[in-house]
Amino acid sequence: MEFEHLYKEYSSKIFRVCFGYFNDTEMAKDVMQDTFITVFTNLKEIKHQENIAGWIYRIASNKCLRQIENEKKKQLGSEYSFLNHEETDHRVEDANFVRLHQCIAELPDMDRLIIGFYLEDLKQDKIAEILGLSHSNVRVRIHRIKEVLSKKMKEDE
Amino acid sequence: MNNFLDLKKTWQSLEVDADESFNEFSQTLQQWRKRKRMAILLWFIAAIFFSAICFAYVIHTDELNSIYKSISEIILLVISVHLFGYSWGRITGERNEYLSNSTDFIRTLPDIYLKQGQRDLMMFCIVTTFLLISVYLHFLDSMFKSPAGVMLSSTLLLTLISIVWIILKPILSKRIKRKNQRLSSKIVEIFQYD
Repeated sequence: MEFEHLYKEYSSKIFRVCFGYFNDTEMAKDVMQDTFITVFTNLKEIKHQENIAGWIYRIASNKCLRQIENEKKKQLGSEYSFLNHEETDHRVEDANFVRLHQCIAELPDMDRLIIGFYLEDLKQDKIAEILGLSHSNVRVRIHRIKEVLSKKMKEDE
Repeated sequence: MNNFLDLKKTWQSLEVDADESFNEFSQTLQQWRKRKRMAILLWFIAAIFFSAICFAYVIHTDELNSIYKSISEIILLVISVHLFGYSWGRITGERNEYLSNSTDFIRTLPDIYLKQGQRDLMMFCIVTTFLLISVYLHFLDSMFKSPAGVMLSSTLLLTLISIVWIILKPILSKRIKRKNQRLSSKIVEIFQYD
């Protein structure tokens, strides 16, 4: 599969997952680009093209988790030119968006990745496979995260 | 906002401008390749430069016909070849983080770092020791002129080697372990909700 096509198809998805994990535009952008560098350099090695999405998500989640090596603290990020301008302006002012990301930022590391993948419409067994967790564990966690998020969002309303 | 579908809609409202992002990525990729090429180029320049020095040194010491200097140059050559091989591995080696799932990957990180750190430390100690020995052997002929000189330089050599192995190695090893423990505790935090 052509790399440019892959990038355009998955960049938004990977950026959202990374942004959900870090709640920091700069970090999310760096990790997204780092993810695609790894995709670019290893694309020839992937044998099962049908599982390419899972492969890209796995690289992204490993890159996100690897940031524990850095001591840098998380902070709310600024804007970037590559974000869709019209969407961005609307998004920043969107209180729901900010609230949702603040609620997600309070979740544990693995849960932030799980909910990110889930909101990207990944199936539970796929999430379990990417993160190396059992299917039942992912199912329980998603149920719990949904409850926590709903509760927090209600509280903030 | 109670509905999960609303949350999903809000989540997916964040879109990346694919064309602009791809252009930015292409530049990043170019810079990344440039850095990698530069590292390899520097490595080759260093290797060529060092080979030239070694070549000149070998010719120079052959003329002197000294057994100690010959041993010294062999030690230097072996150390250098080993170091160049090691640095080549560090430049071209990449972590296969695209192969394992996140849990396996993150759980193996401290082990990888610990092994890498200890390998680097061991390399530092061995190379420094051999380097000191080769310097010692290089000047041994001239030191033979006075027995006190041999005694003094041998004592100095042993002292320096002892400092490397008895003082420096444990200090650096402790630092590696401390860093590794910090990483391990962060990983434990990640999995504490399992």
